[in-house]
Amino acid sequence: MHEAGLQRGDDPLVIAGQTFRSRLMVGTGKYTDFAIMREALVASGAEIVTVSIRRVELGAPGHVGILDAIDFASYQLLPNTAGCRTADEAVRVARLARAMSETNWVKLEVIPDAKYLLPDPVETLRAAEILVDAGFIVLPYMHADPVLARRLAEVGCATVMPLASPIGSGRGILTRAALEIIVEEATVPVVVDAGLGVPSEAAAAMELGADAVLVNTAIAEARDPVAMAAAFRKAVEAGREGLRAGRMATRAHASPSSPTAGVVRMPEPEVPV
Amino acid sequence: MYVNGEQYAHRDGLTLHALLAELQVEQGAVVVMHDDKLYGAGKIPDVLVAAPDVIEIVTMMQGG
Repeated sequence: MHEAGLQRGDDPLVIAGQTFRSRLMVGTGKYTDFAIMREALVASGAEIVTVSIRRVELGAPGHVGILDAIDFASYQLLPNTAGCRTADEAVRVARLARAMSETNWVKLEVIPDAKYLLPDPVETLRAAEILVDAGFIVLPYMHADPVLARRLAEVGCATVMPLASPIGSGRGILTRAALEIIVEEATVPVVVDAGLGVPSEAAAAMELGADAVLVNTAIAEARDPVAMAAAFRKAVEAGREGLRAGRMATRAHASPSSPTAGVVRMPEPEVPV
Repeated sequence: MYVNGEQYAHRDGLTLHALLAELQVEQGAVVVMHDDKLYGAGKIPDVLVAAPDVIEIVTMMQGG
């Protein structure tokens, strides 16, 4: 089947019955100001954006967080539970997020380790079960662990979100072998989250079969976040189209691209008798 | 009472609305958890708060 010239709408991402044209999710953290963040969100083409829930600063008039900075009607909000160290904390924050954002989507993060920000698989699974039972659409951030991915899907998570490398590290895909297994075995969309540093890594994640990627720091900390957001959008689209087009087989040896017959050669040198 | 993890001086007759006003917090921009009860933005009732109560006042922030 000829698939050249695919349009974004031809190949939608479906999560919990909701359809999205973009396969790039973006975070709203770390931007130097809201104006650049807004421009970057638009340039990314993302339809799903993450936010966090935090205590208000008491006695600080005008402290309203991100409420006035985003056109909420334009995006599917994905509140996270970042900062939570246990399942109980995550469930509490998810409830607050639902009341605040009026969405039942939640990016579940249970991270007891402040240095590497690696998620706790046991508490993540426990929180996921509680939240799914409570009617949340749960997108859990997780190690690139195929067994955990299966368990999270089995308890009703809408996606799995395995890490490429530690959050905010920009080290790219360090978990490729495990991601390949997760993709192969997946029964829910796989969103590669965390650690992607440049657009080519997003394209690689899509080429290996991820359904989407989530990027924050690589865009927000770029010299030009708006241009980088656009670059990630193109990379995600290119990676997805490359996957659908079907890659060539690899070979142990070279294979010439030009005909081997009819090559113009110099006369063979005479061999003295 | 505790407000956002910090001890806060309680007084008789204090209500949620009065507390938010004291803290200069706009009701439409926050969610309040009063012990186990959760109130959405703009839907916060003017109920009395008691000395042992635990109150969380949160909003949406940037995040990844």
